[in-house]
Amino acid sequence: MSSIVVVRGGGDPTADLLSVAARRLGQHVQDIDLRIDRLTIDVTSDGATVRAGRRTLEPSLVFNRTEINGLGLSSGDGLKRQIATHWRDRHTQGREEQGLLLAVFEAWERTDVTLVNRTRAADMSLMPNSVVDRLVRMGEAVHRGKPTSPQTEVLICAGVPIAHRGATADRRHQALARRVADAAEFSLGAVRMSTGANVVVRGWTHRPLLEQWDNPEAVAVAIVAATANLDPDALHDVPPRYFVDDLGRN
Amino acid sequence: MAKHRTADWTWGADRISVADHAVTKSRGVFVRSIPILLPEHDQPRISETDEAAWLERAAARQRMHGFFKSVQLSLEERGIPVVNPLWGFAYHRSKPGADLALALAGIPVPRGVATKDPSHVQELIDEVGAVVYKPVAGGGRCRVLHPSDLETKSDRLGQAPCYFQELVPGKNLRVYTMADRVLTAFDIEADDVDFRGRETKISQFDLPPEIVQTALTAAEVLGLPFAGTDIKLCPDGRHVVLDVNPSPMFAALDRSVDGAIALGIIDHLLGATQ
Repeated sequence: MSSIVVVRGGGDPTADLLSVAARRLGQHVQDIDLRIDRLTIDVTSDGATVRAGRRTLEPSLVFNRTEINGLGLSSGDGLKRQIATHWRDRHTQGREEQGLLLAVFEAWERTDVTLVNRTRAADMSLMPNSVVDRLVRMGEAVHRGKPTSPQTEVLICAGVPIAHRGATADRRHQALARRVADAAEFSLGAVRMSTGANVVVRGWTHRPLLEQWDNPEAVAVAIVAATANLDPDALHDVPPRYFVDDLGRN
Repeated sequence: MAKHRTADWTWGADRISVADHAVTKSRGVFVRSIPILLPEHDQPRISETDEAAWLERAAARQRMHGFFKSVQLSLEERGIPVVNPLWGFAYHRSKPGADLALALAGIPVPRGVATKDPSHVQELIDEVGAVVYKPVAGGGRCRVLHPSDLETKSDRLGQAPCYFQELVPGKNLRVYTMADRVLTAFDIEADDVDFRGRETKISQFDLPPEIVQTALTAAEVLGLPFAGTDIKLCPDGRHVVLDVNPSPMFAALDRSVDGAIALGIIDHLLGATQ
């Protein structure tokens, strides 16, 4: 059965929100927690099979909330997951885990699976100069220093602006957010921009923390609906255990 | 490039330069590698307990590497030939990922399983018989998995995944390719399943056309103009690709073929812009 898979690398309220939202939209959801689940990839001449324990994963949509990348070291979460006694070995284990997960995401990316985000987004986050270079060549202004004017932040998914916070975002901000998403190669992310006559890019992330946004449950539903092409108003009841109790909000 | 600090670089829409040299005017760029170092690589220089100091140094190094990788990608995006391109190197961080890309392109590769679950390894053994294992992310030696290993090493396997592949017997071929041609190929005899450092005899080898095609296609699939591809030529005549190296060592072998490999790289970089 086709399903939505949410892969998380550690405690992650955003992953919880996406998982609950997908259930509310009537989707079959499989949560993969890399602290617990053992992934296996089986490579044959016909392609690959991905398993979590004995379960075969055949998703149509994957929310990749990990920081797995092909260019850098393991993230903090990636190291915390490793169980070697000596810290030096944990780094080596983290590298091996990255190698396995790169193959898993590669396998999904090479089939019909929609992957949000691709590992390339994490790679590009390690090369901010390249993103800036691409934007500058597009004719956009980028200043990543301390903001001197009001800012707006646009949350974007699959080219669709989902939400904004801070100062009002107009069409220019939405268009620029799409271009930043293209340059940084993320499908789901958030872009900070200045307001005023000249809109300037201030920063971006491919791992937005939905729990920090207003009405995060609705934002998560909008993201899943936009990604899976579902009606965001067709919500189902789900058992209370699936709801997120602690979003870390004040 | 790497001897310069990032602060020595100036970066504009039209020009990237370092120490007054406009690298954007280069005819071609050869990147040996921009490696990600683990603590084990730093071992002689770090204390047993000092993870915080290592992490601080590693984070600074990763930022610097990110900068140089950005330079590399930006040069590629400006149409300057780069050997090898950035994303070709990235494939080398995942052996099963590279194998999958090759398999989907119709390139013969050994059956493989990346896992930390011994039961999946046992299934592979039941299916293919003898098995070798190697690091998932590359870099380490390939070893034969002995029958008792699954029991004695299962704790270690439970801590980190490993890549297990069917043991393919046969001749070890190393094929150096550049774009659409084979530069040279060697038959490497060794007294170990992993020939690196265990070579007993190396000789040039005339490749049959089907292996030429495999080597060229494999490098192309992984986005590598320059590659050192390891191929097993089996006694029954079939062949499988074991590895496609984006930054293969070649200095010693190159001397035996009068610099054919280095010249091939230079010809490509100079010719690609003509």
